[in-house]
Amino acid sequence: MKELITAWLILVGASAATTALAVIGPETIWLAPVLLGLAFVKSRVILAAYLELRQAPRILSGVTLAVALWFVIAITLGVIG
Amino acid sequence: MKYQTQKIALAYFLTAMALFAVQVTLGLIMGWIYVDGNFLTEILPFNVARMLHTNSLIVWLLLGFFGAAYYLIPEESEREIHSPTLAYIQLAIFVIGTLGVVLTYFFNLFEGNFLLGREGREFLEQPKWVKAGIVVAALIFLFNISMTVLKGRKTAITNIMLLGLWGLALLFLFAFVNPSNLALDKQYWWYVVHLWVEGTWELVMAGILGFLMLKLTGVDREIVEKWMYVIAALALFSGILGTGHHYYWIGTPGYWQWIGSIFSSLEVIPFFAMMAFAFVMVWKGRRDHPNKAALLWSLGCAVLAFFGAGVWGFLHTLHGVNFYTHGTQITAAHGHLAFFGAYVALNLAIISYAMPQLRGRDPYNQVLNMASFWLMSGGMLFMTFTLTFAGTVQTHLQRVNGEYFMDVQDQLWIFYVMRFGSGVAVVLGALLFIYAIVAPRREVIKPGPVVEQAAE
Amino acid sequence: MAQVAREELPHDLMIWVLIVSEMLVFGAGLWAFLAVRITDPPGFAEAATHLHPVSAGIGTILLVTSGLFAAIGAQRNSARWLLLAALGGLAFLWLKSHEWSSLIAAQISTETHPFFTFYYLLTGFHAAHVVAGIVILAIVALRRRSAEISAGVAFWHLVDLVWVAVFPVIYLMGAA
Ligand code: HEM
Ligand code: HEM
Ligand SMILES: [Fe+2]
Repeated sequence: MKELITAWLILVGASAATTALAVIGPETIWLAPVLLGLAFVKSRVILAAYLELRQAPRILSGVTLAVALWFVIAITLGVIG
Repeated sequence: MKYQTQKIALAYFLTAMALFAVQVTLGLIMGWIYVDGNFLTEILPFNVARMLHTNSLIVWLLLGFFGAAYYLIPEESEREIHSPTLAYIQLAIFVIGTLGVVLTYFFNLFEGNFLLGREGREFLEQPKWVKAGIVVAALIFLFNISMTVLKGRKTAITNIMLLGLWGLALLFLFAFVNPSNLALDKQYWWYVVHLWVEGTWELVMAGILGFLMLKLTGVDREIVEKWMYVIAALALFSGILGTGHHYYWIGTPGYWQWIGSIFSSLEVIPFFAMMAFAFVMVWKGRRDHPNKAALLWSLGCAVLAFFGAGVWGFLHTLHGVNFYTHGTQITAAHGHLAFFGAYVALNLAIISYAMPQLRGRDPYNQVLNMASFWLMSGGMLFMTFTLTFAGTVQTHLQRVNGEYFMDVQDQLWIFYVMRFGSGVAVVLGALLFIYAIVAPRREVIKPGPVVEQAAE
Repeated sequence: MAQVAREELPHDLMIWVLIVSEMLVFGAGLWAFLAVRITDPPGFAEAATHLHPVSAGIGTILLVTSGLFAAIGAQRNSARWLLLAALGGLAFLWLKSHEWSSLIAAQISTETHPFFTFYYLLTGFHAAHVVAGIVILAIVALRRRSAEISAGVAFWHLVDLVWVAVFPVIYLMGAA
């Protein structure tokens, strides 16, 4: 239960931070990496806590790696564009 | 053979083999028309030969599937087929329909007649009365095997086979939907054509391959079943919206380009999984089954399906590529290797496995059968390569440089000569295969030391 | 010899096959969006001004909160929590329908600009999953079988997971 609440707090906090950042819209090349970085944190929390992959640490790290790779490429495309 | 009614499969397989011989021979004739455009123009025009080539392909593959179902369902559900009489009536309907089709195409009888005349859509040219016959026959078939399965044991193999066969029959109903709007016509046409080979037939393939792996390798049923469910799920997940790869240029909205590209790219995965499945099963298997030819065809099927459907399919499935290659010889290369690898080889695998048992003998003449595998597959691969080269050149000259179609065809002549050569190998291989499973009553070549093993 | 620990996969294998497949589809779609965006950055930035990041942010918070309810519902085998989660999904859909109807009122369709082709496709696909998820949650809540609840809730988390990537890429990258 405590784990789930912690996960939820992180998710809500990250979502709010993402939205706020985008609305303020600072003129920096770091914006896209930060927005997507926060999204990566959220997806990892959903995988670990909500989808209970925390019970299977090896699978979790494999999936995390794949997701991280996805975000790296997305960030690259985002920065170019 | 444990159940009497499995014998039904014999009649189906033999009819299928006869049509197989006709089908590849017609291919060869067309292959020559490509080399000499005036060959047989009066007697057998190209379009008629083409209809006969593709339609007989579909019919014999279906007969093979039906035969396979009649063979493996009794064994899986552990009871006799509900009604053998119905099964033979079903076959008779198919044979009469096929004869009707051949006569109608060949003499172009009843041109334009609503019920009796041929219809104009590739693969679905059969006159309406034949289509109706196919539906009746399919209903009989479904009734017969569903009753058998419902009363007997239910396994992953029967579940997936039934799902595939029911889907196959229901989708055929779209053959009757033929709106005059050409875009809509094509849209429905692909419900049959694409959702067959990249949907329901794949389930049948998973079912038959699963059965063969179970028998040939002796791996635990539990493991085989897990693989089969995963493969079936992947096939449907990717294949249904994968239909979008035919909706790029027919007048459907632009978003199909992305739906089609993304989902059809994923279609490679189930074919890869099928190949992985076959090899993992053989690797894990403890059984040294005497029917080596069936094993060779099974593995060959999984590998060639992966290349023909998976690799050659992916080659032109992204809309950026398909914009250039659409309807060129690249498509023909893919069509041949995909159909051959996935469904021809699948049928030949189950036939190689079942025939000796249906005829109550040992699997004789493995060597002839295996030689036919290499001859046919080698020919098919070579044909795929020549057509791929031809298609690449064609794409460049016609689609990039904008040269005229017929001018380009002239420049492809040498490829068509080579394609004809590879076609000869395929036809010889097919005839050799048929000879090897039908004719010999004893071992022609001295067998090596016999390994005593329990075999099913 | 090193003992290779066999890890227990939470939820049914088949639901994972589905989850991974869906991740591949949405992942490819979002990559394609970002790649096409390179061909026309100003056009994409302009198109993005028609969307409302704050309302999408609220939608995100709705979804992850509903995900929390679903997780609690699964833990406690409780129909009430599961239905509450479904309610969160409905609220999300309500927001979405407002967004779409205002865009459609502004004559913006899938053909207006590549941005909107992807926008409608990806949010539409996602919303279809929300609808399916709501139905699934309702069914498993009523039947109360723990294996089914586990699979249904896993599907609901997938809907969250996908959204978490769709949200910044489609709604916020315009500003970046
Ligand atoms: C088991 C073996 C074979 C299979 C599964 C097969 C399958 C097919 C299919 C599916 C098509 C329609 C392709 C499309 O719509 O793009 C086709 C057309 C054709 N096949 Fe075959 N075929 C086989 C053997 C042969 C052989 C041995 C030849 C001889 C060289 C041949 C020559 C042709 C030709 C010339 C066409 C017409 C292509 C066109 O319209 O341009 N086929 N075949
Ligand atoms: C065993 C499975 C398959 C078979 C038997 C098969 C067979 C065929 C045939 C006969 C055609 C020509 C249809 C026509 O226009 O007349 C075709 C077209 C096509 N196939 Fe497949 N196919 C299979 C799987 C796949 C897969 C997995 C992919 C993608 C990864 C794929 C991609 C395509 C595409 C893009 C076309 C359209 C080509 C064009 O625009 O001309 N196919 N297929
Ligand atoms: Fe297709």
